[in-house]
Amino acid sequence: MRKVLRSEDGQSSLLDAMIFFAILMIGSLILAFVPFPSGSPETRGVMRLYGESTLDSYLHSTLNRTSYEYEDEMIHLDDRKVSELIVENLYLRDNTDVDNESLIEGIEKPLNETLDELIFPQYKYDFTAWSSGGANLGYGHESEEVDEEIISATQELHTPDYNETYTANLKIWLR
Amino acid sequence: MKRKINDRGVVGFYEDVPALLIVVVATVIFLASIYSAVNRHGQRTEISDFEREAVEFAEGVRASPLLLYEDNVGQFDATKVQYLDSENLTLSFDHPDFYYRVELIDVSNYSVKYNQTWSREPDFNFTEEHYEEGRKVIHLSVTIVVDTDEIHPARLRVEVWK
Repeated sequence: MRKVLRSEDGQSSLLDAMIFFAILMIGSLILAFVPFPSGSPETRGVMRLYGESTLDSYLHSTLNRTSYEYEDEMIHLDDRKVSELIVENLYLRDNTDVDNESLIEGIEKPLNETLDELIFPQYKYDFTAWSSGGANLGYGHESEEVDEEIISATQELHTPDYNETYTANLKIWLR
Repeated sequence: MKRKINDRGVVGFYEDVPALLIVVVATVIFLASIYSAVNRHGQRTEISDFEREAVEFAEGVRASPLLLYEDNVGQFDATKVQYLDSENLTLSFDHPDFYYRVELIDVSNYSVKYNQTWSREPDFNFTEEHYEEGRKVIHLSVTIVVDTDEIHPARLRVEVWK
């Protein structure tokens, strides 16, 4: 009977194949989970365009009837631009003793309703405007999202004589 | 040259066959995963291209000279809004290779509204299932200028599908 010789000098091709198999499986796993850019319609660029166009359109549109009460007299502001109404509202809060309730009911409520109608129901929003004097107004929803999911657009507003600058900011995010 | 033959050589056949099988199986799995990845990438690219096309169309509508008031992008002329028909809008985009529906929704607090819809839709009686997969909806906002004292805010909803 022949004697079978065994030694550790030889190299097993089966071991090589197993290593090859392991490497290719790792490669296949990486390929299976490689991330591709999302094809979602709500990409950030589209949302940014929507946020900016919404703030711009809102500020440049007009409201047919707004008013507030001052020294027992009703002041009517018809066909005034939203940007003008915001500036007037903040100016009155900063520089006069007009009743805040009258401003809220007569100016801020129609402003809020208009923005609420303008924004598509798929979105939530938070609008704020403020003056350098410390007055501010805001309406919309409380933000529960992380910053990465919120689109923010800002515009500066001025009094007609450009003496004072006000800032308007609109944040939107998907519901 | 004289060849040496003895019992110390390694007979590889019974070891090489399973090794070869393992290599073949691993290669097939790897090639299949490459094919799958390329396929997925192709689909994504196609979706991204169509999405880009949809956004460009929506921006094109928002900046269309057929609708603009004094060439201001995002400001539509109320008279042009009333009289523009779908055929002329389609013509201005040189007959795009997709279907669309553009809805202008006047949300102002004025009594007269300038709502309008332009569309290019297939002749057959289609339902949402026909285009659900390739459908893209772009939301924008515009204003409709009636005159310098009356400017209506409006939603612009642009829906595009193939």
